[in-house]
Amino acid sequence: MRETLMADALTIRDLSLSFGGIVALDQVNLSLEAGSIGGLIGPNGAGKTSLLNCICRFYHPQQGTIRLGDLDVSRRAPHQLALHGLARTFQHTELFRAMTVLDNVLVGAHTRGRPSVVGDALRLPAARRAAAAQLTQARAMLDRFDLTALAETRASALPLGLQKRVGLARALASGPSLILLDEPAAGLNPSEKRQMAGLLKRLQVEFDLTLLLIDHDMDLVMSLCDQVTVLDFGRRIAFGPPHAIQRDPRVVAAYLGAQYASALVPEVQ
Amino acid sequence: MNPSPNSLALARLGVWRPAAVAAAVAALACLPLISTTSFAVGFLDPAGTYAILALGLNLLIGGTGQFSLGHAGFFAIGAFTAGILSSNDAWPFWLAIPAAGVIAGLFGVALGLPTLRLIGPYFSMATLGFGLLVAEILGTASWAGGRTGITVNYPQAGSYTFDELSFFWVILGAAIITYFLVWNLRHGATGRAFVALRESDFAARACGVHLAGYRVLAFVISAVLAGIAGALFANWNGFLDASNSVTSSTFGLPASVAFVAMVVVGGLDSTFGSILGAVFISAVQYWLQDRPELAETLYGACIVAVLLWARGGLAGLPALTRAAWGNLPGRVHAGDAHG
Repeated sequence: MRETLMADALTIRDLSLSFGGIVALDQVNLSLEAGSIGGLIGPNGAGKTSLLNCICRFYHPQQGTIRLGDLDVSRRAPHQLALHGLARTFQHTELFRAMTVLDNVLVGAHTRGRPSVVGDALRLPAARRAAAAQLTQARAMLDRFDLTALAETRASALPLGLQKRVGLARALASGPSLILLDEPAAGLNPSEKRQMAGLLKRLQVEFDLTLLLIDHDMDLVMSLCDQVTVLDFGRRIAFGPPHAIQRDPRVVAAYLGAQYASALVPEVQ
Repeated sequence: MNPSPNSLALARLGVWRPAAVAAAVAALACLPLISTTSFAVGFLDPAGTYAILALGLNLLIGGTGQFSLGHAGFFAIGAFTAGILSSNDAWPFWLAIPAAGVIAGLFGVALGLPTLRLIGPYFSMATLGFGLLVAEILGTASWAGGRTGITVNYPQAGSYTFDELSFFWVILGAAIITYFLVWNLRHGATGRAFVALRESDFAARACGVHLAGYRVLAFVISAVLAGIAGALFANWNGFLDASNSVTSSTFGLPASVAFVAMVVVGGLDSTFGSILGAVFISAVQYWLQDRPELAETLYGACIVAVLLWARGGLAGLPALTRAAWGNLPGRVHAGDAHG
């Protein structure tokens, strides 16, 4: 067993998840050093999003452990993980569509406000102070993401590129240390993709984040990630730095099928 | 396209807002002085009572998006709790009414916990079943008065005895306090959490919103307020009749539907809209009291009309009217720029 000097932000061991007879994840291992960017790639249906959903406790794996730092996530309910520094974005953004951009980000800062129902209802001083702090935090996030002018716009009225940015701002508003990003660049045009890559890199440094990123855009994954994990049919078929992954015959085979892979990468034989 | 009606009203009233609110409250408080007893019992008292109930349902339906078809059950529980507690002058009304809220709230917890994972039509069906169950039990239980019903004495405070007219002040006070609490909840972190759960429960939970906690909370608050409304009803109506209650427009399914109509017709996104909706439905019921089937048809049609053409409901009508008149210069809201 590997013992690291740097604490791992995320450690997944022997994770298995099945729905009825369908195996979604099969003894998956993954660890992510604090402060690094990990990539998670694989063909459609490989189990990438299922893995994120296990980390968030939306899915309940039959076997294996997931740790955030020292915390075994199975000891916490999904909503408690935000307090432990976990945040995520979604493939289909999952913005609160009827709410304004500002309100979306305010929900992101939910745990910072120490919400109290009685305090809210009676507008008690403590609740008002908390609400003010939350608002300051959310406004700072909007500023950081150049969304201030859109604060009062409904999320549903935004184009996809902006929706993705709001999703990021919402995730960051909770003050996380680890963010799971489910296809942050999907659906963006090439220039938006480059912007997103640059933004993620800057955010990682600026907020001292650990990122785990799913994407199909290889340029994005290869340029951003320190380590890449490849899933196929729920199994981890490869793991390593991006340049090695790119040449790994098993990876190429998983994406293209073995016969094409042998043509492209001679050493498959 | 639709600027929020609240922000428009605020902007237009400006510094006059507190004065306008005070004047409106004063005008409402004068109503018992110029009203007849039959108008008070037929319209004023019900409108105020149902406003409290609708404000609670606003949190549930407008906030979390869960449509309850069983709130007449909580209304009935509150009414009979207050009725039984205050019979023979055992409990004064100002204690019996909060107690009725507590009992209704406990039933709310009991129903809210097992149904919190149900969404959409499944939740509506479960609450519908609850409403029918309560009505059925009350209609057959001897302690609920059976065919003779329960008579509730005029409420007393010290040596003063309220009548149908003066009790409106109690209702008005309760409604104003309720409006204040519900408005604060809807515009604070709690209300945002409700709506976030409605829009995407996955994303809301990932943001740290406790799904079970907030869903049950919205349900319980709405149950408590329905119970309090029921208790107020027991006091001004003076009589509780649970026979045939499953089909009665007081405690039965028609009542539950009318409650939903109040919130929808008033406007799902507006706290004040629920008061307008309660007043509107109460007015329809009062002026068509000899033709209840016509009243029900009318507010059924109103629900359809609102959902099809005017999602903002009564509260959204000013904005809708302005849009229909063409965007007049100087009245175009910043929000209109997008869209």
